[in-house]
Amino acid sequence: MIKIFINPGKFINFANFVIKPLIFISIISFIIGLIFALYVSPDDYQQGSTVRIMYIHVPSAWLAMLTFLIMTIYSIIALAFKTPFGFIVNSAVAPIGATFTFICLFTGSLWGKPMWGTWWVWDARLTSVALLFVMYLIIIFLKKTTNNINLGEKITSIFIIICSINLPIIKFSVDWWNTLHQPASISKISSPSIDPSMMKPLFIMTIFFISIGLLIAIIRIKAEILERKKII
Amino acid sequence: MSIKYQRLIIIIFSLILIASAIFLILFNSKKNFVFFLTPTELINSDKILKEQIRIGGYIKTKSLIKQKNNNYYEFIVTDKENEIKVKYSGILPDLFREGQGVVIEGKIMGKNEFLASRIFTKHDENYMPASIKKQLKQKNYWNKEY
Amino acid sequence: MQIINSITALFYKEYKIAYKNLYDILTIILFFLLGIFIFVFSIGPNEEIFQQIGIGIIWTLLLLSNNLSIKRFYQNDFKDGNLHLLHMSGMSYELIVLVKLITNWFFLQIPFFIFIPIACLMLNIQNDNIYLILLTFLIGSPILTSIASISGSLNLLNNRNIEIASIIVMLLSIPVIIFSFGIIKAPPELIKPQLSFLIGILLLFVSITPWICAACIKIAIRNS
Repeated sequence: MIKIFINPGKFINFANFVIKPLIFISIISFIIGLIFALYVSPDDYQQGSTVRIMYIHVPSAWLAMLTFLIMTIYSIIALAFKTPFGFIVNSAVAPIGATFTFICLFTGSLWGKPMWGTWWVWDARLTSVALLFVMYLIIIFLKKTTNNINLGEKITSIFIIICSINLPIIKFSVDWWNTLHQPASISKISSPSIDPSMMKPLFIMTIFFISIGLLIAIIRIKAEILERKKII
Repeated sequence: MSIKYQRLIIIIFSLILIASAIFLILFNSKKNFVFFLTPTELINSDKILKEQIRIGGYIKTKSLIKQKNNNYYEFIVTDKENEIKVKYSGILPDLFREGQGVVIEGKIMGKNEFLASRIFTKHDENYMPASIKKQLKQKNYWNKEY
Repeated sequence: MQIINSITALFYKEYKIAYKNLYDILTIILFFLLGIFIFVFSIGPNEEIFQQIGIGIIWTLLLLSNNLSIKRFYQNDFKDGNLHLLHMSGMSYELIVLVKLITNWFFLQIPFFIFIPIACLMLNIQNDNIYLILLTFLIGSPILTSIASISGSLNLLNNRNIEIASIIVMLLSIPVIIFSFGIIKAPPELIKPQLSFLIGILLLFVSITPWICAACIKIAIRNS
C-alpha cells in the first residue's frame, strides 16, 4: 500500500485507476459547491454577501500550505532514502502550490478592500503568505539553474526544507501577534465558529480544491515519470 | 581526530545551540512584532507626540458623531479599560459600525487624542447567517460583548 | 593535535587570501558608501526625512552589500578542488564551513563597524541610535554571513542564473531586518526581549548552516 507513494511504477497504475473518479468528483463538487456558495448559503450577519469570497479564499489557503507540507515531507524522504520519486513530486507539485497561493492572495485582497478598507496591509499573516508565494517561485526557478537535473533537484529539496520553517509561522501568526487578519475559525473541531449552513459550502469547495489539485498533480507526476523513462 | 568524531562534536554543539535558540525564541515571541497597540498599551507607553502608529480596539457604542457633507467623524476607541478619542475625515470601510473592532493608523495628538489617517475594520472569526442573529436577539441569547 | 594544526593552516590560508584581495573587500565597502550617496541624492537633502528613514537605508545597504560576497565563500575553492583536498586530509565539510564562516565574518563584516558610524553621521542619525545600529549589526552580521554561505553553497554549480543566489539571500534575511529594525524603533523596555529573539535567530542559523552547506557541497562534488 505505502509503496504507491514511493514507487513510480506502482504510482502509474494507481494514477490510471484514480484519474477518472477524480475528474467525476471534481466536476460534481464544483457544480454543487458553486450552487451552495452562491445561492443556497445565507448572508453573514456582519459582512453580508461578501462572505462568499471565503469559499474560495480559505480552501486555496489550506491547499497552498498543504502542498508545501507535502513537498517538505517528500524532500526529506527523497534525500534520506535516495528515492527519486520525491524529486518528481516536488517538481510536479510546485507550480500548483504557487497557483493556489496566488489565488489565496488575490481573493484575500479582493475581500480585504470592502471589509478592512484596504487592498493590502503589512501584518504578519499576509506578509508570511506573500513570502510563501516568493518561495514557491524560487523553488520553480532554482531547479532550472543548472544543466544537471540531478543536482538541481537535490538543491531544490534542501531549499524546500529550509523554507518549511515558514509554515508554522503562517499557521500561528494570528495567535502569536496582534494582526488585522482574524484568527482561525475551524481550529477546534468540536465547535467551529462557523455556522453549519456556511460550513457546508466551505466543506464542498474544499473537496473540490483537493480533488482538482490532486488531479492536476497526478497528471503532471505521470507525465514527468514517462518523460524520465524516455531519457533513460 | 577522525571525521566521524568531528561530526559528532559538531552535532552536539549544534543541538545545544538549537535548544537554546528555541528557548530564547519561545520565551520572547509574544512581546514583539506588534501590528497595533491597544489603548491601555498606548497610555502606558512613552510614545512621542505626532508619531505615526497604529492602535486597535473596539468602537464604543453611541460614541460616533458624524458631520454631514464633509465626511468628518469622531468616535471613541476602547478596550474596556481605557478610552481614546479619535478624529477622522475620509471614507469609512463597509464594516465600520458601533461595537466593531478597528485598527487605526494615525498620529497621537495629545493625551487620549488621536488623529486617524487610515481606518481598517477587523472582523472576528465568527460566521453566522443574518437571520439567525435576529432570532437570537429576539430570544435574548445574543450576549456577545465587545 | 593534527586537526588543530590543519584548522590553523586553513585560517592562515584564508587570511592570506583576504590580505591579497584587500581591494575586493574595499570594493564592497565602497558600494555601501556610494549606495548612501545615491539614496541621499534621490531623496534630497532633507534632514527630517533622513532621521526617519536613515536606519532603514543603512540596513538595506548592509543587506545588499552582503549580496556581493556570496561568490567569495566556496566558489574558488570548489573550482580548483581545494574543498575536496581539505576533506581528504581529514577535515569534515562541516568543520570547513565553520572555519569559512568565522573568517568571512571577520574579513567582510568587521570593516563595516568602522564605516557604519561614518554613514550614520552622513545621514544625521542620533547618537543613541548609532549604538543600537552597531549592537544589532554585531548580532545580525553573523546571520547575514551564514545566509550568504547557505546561498553560496546552494548555487555552487549554478553557472546560468547566479542572480537567484541574491534573491535567496534577500528572502532569508527578511526576519533579520524586521527584528533589527524593530529593536532600533522599540521603546526601551521592549529592547531586551527583541534582542534575545534576534540572538535566538542567530543561534538557530549558526547551528544549521554547517549542515546545510556541507550537504550542498557534498551533492555538488558528487555531481560535478
